[in-house]
Amino acid sequence: MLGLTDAHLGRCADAVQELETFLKLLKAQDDPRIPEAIVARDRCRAELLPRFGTLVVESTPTGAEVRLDPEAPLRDRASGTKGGGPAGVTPFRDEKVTPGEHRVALRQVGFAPLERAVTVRAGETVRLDLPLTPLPSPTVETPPEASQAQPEGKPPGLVLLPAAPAAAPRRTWLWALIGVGAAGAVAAGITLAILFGGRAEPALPAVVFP
Amino acid sequence: MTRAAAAGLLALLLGCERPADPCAKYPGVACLAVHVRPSVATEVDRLIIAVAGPGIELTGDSAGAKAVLLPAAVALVFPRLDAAAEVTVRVTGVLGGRAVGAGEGAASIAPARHDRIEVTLGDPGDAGVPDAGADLVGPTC
Repeated sequence: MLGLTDAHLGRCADAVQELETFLKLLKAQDDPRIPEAIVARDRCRAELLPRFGTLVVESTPTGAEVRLDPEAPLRDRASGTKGGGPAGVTPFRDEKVTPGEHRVALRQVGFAPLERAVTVRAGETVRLDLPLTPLPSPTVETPPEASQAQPEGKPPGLVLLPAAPAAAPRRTWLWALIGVGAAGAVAAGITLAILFGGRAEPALPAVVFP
Repeated sequence: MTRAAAAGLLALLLGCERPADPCAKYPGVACLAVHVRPSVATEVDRLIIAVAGPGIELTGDSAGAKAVLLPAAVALVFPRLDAAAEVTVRVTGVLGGRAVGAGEGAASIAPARHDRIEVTLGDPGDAGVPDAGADLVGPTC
């Protein structure tokens, strides 16, 4: 029976159709092959059912790190889905999320961490679009001399300090050495090109004297 | 003086051609590489070659697909040469069907040996300037 062969070979899509046809066309209800055909059909049907759901996570701004079930790292790894550790960055899509309750955690530098619970069902897609909240800028204690230089309209706590002139290291000799070396290399290259890279003398066809 | 010498050396270097060995394709066969230098003629599309020596009277010609600027080289191949000989090689340069230069040189040919001569194409009316050998040709680049 072709349906049983396909079922054994794992070609369940074909097997289910063939076994359904076989069972419909079978006249004798006490055919000994019926139980085996029903078992094979049901097993293949179960295999064809979607086993995973899809999770789509987007954030504003994008680029946030996505973790699935951050507090239960090993459970979902064992089942083949990403869990615990970083699963990716937004925009994020995972088509092999085990059905059930999950927690999605987002982290992005400069933004408040975010966590949401989602329920994923087999064969379905869950989409999350999460806005991230910027963290307040770190404040800097204002030194007295800086407060005078603070432009008007700037938020307090953020200080623009004039850059102190750095003492330039004396590297003139080093640059001079590099320059002399480069010039020497260029001169050597030109000389070699002239000596060995000249136009090849053209050759006319040979004259063969028999 | 130093400046003039340096300029002369530079001019010499810039004027150098990388000599090809047209005989390189003929290992184990007697071959004479003829390096044709410009004088009156500077461009040819054909070379007529005459080789003469004791018991040897050979003529042949080499025509390129297009005109070449001199200097150029041509291989004279003697696959059936059975004894060494001193020969005179006369080269006539032709451009567009007209002889534009001629010259000759002496050479030794021997079975399975490669040699080279230089021939300068002078006025085609007076057989050009006979080449007396590399000593008179000037420095080889």
